[in-house]
Amino acid sequence: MVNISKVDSRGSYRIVLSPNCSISWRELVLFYLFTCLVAIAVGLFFTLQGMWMVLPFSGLEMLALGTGLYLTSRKVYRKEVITLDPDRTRIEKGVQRVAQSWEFKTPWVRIIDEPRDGRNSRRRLAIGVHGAAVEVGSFLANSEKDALAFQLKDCIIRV
Amino acid sequence: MYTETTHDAAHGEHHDHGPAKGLMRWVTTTNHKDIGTLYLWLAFIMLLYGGSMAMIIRLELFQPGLQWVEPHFFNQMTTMHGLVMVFGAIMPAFVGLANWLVPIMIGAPDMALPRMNNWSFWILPFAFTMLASTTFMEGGAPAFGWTFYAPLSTTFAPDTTDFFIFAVHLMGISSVMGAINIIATILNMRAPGMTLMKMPLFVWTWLITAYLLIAVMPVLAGAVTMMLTDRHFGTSFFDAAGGGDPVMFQHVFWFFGHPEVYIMILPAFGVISAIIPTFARKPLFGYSSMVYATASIAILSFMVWAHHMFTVGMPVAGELYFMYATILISVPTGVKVFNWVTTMWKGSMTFETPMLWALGFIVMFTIGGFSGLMLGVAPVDTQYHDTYFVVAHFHYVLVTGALYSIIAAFYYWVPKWTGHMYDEKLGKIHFWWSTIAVNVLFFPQHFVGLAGMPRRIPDYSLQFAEFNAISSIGGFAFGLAQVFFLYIVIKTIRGGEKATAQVWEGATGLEFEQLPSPPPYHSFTEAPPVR
Repeated sequence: MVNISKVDSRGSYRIVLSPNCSISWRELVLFYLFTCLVAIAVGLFFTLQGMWMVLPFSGLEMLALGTGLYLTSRKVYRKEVITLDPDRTRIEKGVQRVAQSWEFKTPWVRIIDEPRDGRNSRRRLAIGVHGAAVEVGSFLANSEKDALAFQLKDCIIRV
Repeated sequence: MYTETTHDAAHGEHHDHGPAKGLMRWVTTTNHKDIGTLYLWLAFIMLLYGGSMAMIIRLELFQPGLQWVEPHFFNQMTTMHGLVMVFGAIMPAFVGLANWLVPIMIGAPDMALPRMNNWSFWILPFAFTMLASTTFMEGGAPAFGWTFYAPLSTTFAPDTTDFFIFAVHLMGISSVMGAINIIATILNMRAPGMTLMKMPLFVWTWLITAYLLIAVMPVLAGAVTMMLTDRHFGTSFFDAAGGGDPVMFQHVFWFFGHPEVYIMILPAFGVISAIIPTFARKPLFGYSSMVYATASIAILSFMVWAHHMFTVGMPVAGELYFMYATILISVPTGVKVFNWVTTMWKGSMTFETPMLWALGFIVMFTIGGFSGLMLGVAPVDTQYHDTYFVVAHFHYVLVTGALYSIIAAFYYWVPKWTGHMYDEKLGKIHFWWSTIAVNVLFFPQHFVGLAGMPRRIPDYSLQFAEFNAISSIGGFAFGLAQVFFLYIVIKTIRGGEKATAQVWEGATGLEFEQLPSPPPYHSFTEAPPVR
């Protein structure tokens, strides 16, 4: 998913990239907590009957479910923010907070659009200067990458 | 600034590189279609393996008296038949269908956790090999029934029971990993526009099934672990001599076991809800009521476990509660049957093979449902309990219910999977052959059960001889029909008339509207439009 907004009157642009995600973080957490409640209630019910060995398995399973949902949500809740102004181009990546960031001088920026190696049919879109390049939108489909490349070029021309 | 575009426009976009070559493709694959195929083949192998044990059972019961096998071996056969069919055939078949269909129905590129998907499958062959190998060990395979009640499975069980316990743990781990994957996929990876209430019912039923699995699998794991500690570590969870309670085992087991029945039938409801509208050429009647009915069945399935234990002894208030709660399940189940019938009402119906299997499901599953209602009535169950009436009931639910829906699903989606149409004539022969045979096999068991023939016995009184002989003939015919099915499966995979993308005139859904037949190895690398 690609969102573009004009940030200020100087003509800065911000492009926010995020993968498709069909559930919000809040809903996912609520689902998980409700599932924990059900599983722990079952475990406690049997513990009260003296069959306490159900409870550790309930706990282990909730841990596994939580890990599975967390790992999946790490993939779908990540964001990439590209901010372009006349002097600088900034790329920030992370989940809920900025985990990595890069900065390039806008006049020198180039957009790299190339095939990946081997059997992978998805293309690689990157923003770089000289020898350094940062891949952007690795989760986007090729058609979305086409649109993004076009929009990036357009923004760079405008700023 | 300059733009560097080095890709070749002619290359890439719609180019599907396909799978790796060789045997290792199947070992290391993380592709949902490959893993779905593996699950379905495992389920078929297990169906034939479990079926061969059923043949031994029916051979022994063909005549009264002991003819072919020792009673202890007969008990091993009934136990292993139940375990293999439940955990090896029906469950993996539905997981295989989920792997194949859930991602392409919701517009996702693959399952959410593909590597875990590979593990969840590859655990199973080892688990079943271990379980099957106990047949050749000293003491033989488990012989205490698929319900493995204590103290038969603890104090009086052979050493091979430890392998059984380990195998059950492995199956449980596999099921839990599969369930987590399905939940994560459905919640996180639906295509834009695919809201929960737009999901195909097969996806809904699997979401609820996965939730049931998550809720009850720790109970099964706890039960077999307590069996293990009772056997080897001096605990007395189920040993009355040590202050434990063997009846508690039955409560623990059926708290898992009853939802397990719904784990095996809810995805079947999803399959039938896909097939009926296609061949009636009408949208499914009452979609949202179907979703709520499925959820209601799942919730109620947690509250009725002790109807399996009416004869064990419980307060009258308990009997009344479990009786009414059990009978209450017929309400949402009835909603489903009425909705399927109403979908067909005034539809432009045709009767291709998948539709025949789906109709067979509706009629015969309802027979199994009605006998279930009879068994749910506590005072009546006192007479029926542990008779062949119960055997007839759950085989109508699981064979003409769950298995029929799996076969219907195969005929419905195999043109999509392989790109080849199956042989319609052979498919219809398979249906009529199986349907006549399965009724010859199981319907007489109602009569012998009502007349008092107990289940799990290798010998019986003379008055049951005719019905048992008829039942055995039906059994052999039904077994042979599934070998014929194997021939149809292989023939379809190897070739046949080319299937169109839509396959069926009335088919709807992303898999039919947005993907060719067969679909590319990596489908939906781009999110499809959702209406």
